[in-house]
Amino acid sequence: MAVRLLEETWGAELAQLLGMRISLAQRILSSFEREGALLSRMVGRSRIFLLDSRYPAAKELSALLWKLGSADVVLQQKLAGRRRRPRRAGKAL
Amino acid sequence: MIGPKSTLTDVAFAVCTALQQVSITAVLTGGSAATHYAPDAYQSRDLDFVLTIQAPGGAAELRKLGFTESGQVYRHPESHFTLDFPRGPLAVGDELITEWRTERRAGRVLHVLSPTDSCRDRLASFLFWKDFSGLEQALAVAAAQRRKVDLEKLEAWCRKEGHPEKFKLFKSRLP
Repeated sequence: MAVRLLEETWGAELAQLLGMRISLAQRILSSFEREGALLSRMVGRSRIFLLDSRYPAAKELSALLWKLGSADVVLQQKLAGRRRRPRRAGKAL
Repeated sequence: MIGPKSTLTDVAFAVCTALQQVSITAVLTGGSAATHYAPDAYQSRDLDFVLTIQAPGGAAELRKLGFTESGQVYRHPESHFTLDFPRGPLAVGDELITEWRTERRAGRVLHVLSPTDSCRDRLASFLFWKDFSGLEQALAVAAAQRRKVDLEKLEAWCRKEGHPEKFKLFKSRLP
């Protein structure tokens, strides 16, 4: 659900937002990639995961995950724990 | 007089009034506008002003208030709030904002995004950057300014930007 709501994410971000070890987050993401639900790409040294639109039930899965995630206020508030919008370089957080 | 107990709104009124005195119209925007509308829910530490009308003398007025330029921001020795003047124009996404709210208090003036546009500005980070903190800030503004946020305008804008489902999620979270 978190991947669907965020549209794309990486192990360290997911771990921080959901309060888990990075290794566990990475294992979970990799297992979904092996199942074909997620795909990944390298951005610099980070592996970014997102829903694989070629998955046979991609459209249904995306809709279901969005519906479930939209109703999960606790998850949304956890995802709010990290700023994603850009901030000008040099401006303190 | 700006001091350690000055709130963001106090500082905003002082700065806006000072600049207005030299014919500069500075509009409070960004997270600082959200804090002005929902101070209990969200605290920004810097004040973002977009100058919609510019004239000379602004820096001198800020110095009179005690602010000094430090890199790209202005700092005050008695306040933890900083001032930033991001490049304009005043806009949310690529939509220009030509009207804003003007508040007056004890002979001072504050130009600030309307509650609807402040909500929209925070929602923009949710729409474009999937930033859920932007969603929470938008919800805080909408809850604090309940009758002053135009939900139909927000919905139309989200639809235009291709994110009707994100407006639906936002609306479902409103108290």
